[in-house]
Amino acid sequence: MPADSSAIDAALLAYLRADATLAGLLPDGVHMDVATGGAKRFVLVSLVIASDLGQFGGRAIEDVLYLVKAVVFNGVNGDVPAAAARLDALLEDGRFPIAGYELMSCVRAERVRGTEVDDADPSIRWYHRGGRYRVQATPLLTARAGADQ
Amino acid sequence: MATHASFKINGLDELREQLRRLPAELRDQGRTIVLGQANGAAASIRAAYPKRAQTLADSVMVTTFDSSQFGAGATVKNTAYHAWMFENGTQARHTALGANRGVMPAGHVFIPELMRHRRAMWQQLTELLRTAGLQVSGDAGG
Repeated sequence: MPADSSAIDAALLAYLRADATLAGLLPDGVHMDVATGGAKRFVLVSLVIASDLGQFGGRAIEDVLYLVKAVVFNGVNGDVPAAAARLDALLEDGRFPIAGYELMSCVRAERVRGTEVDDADPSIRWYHRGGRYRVQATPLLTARAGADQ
Repeated sequence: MATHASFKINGLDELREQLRRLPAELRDQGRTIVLGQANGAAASIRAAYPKRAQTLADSVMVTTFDSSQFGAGATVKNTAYHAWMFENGTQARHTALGANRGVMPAGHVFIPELMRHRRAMWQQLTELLRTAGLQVSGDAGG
């Protein structure tokens, strides 16, 4: 039975949620795809693309690209550069445990930055800053089976 | 008593001439691959955008450039003002009439499609070089 790929998503979210500095900068949490209503300073993670590298008899490497960004509403006191820098400090060459996998690497592939202006009220702005991060992980069962041969 | 030996290699001039032509031939074939994948990526991206977002599809452009005698390149770009927001998502937004559009999750269309085609392009270019008798090592990623 192949490893559960969702464990990679969960591990990334748990790693970010566990950081007290990041939580101080973005107190409204770390969310997948869509933030909860009312959140004004938070981290948003979404899956861009995932591809598998096979080997004889199993899956060797899962290569997952995530969009990870700090999102801050301009009506609150938020330090967007510091939040994005903290995200990068955590994720560039980051190490975190993944159930059923061994993390191989976590690096930024591309920087992302944008400002969203509300159509009806241009004074309302949302700042987005972060990057696309590539996470590569190998399923532990596959690695063990390979080592036993 | 001294002895002398000599070798005569037939076809060396032809080989030299082939090597001289190699960059130009590879460039021409490489250009076909690069432009083919760029246009393929643009077509895939246009097809993957939601049907209601026709402006996004219509704004996908391919521009080509020849960076040198030995190179070829293409840029795929979306010129729509809201392309970034579609790709990376938005938070709560309102129309000019005040209607709440709500949150738009990141669309993730442009980047993944482009990556797929870029990966295919690398593979085809690698194969082209191998076919020409060159050794290719490493991985350009994707």
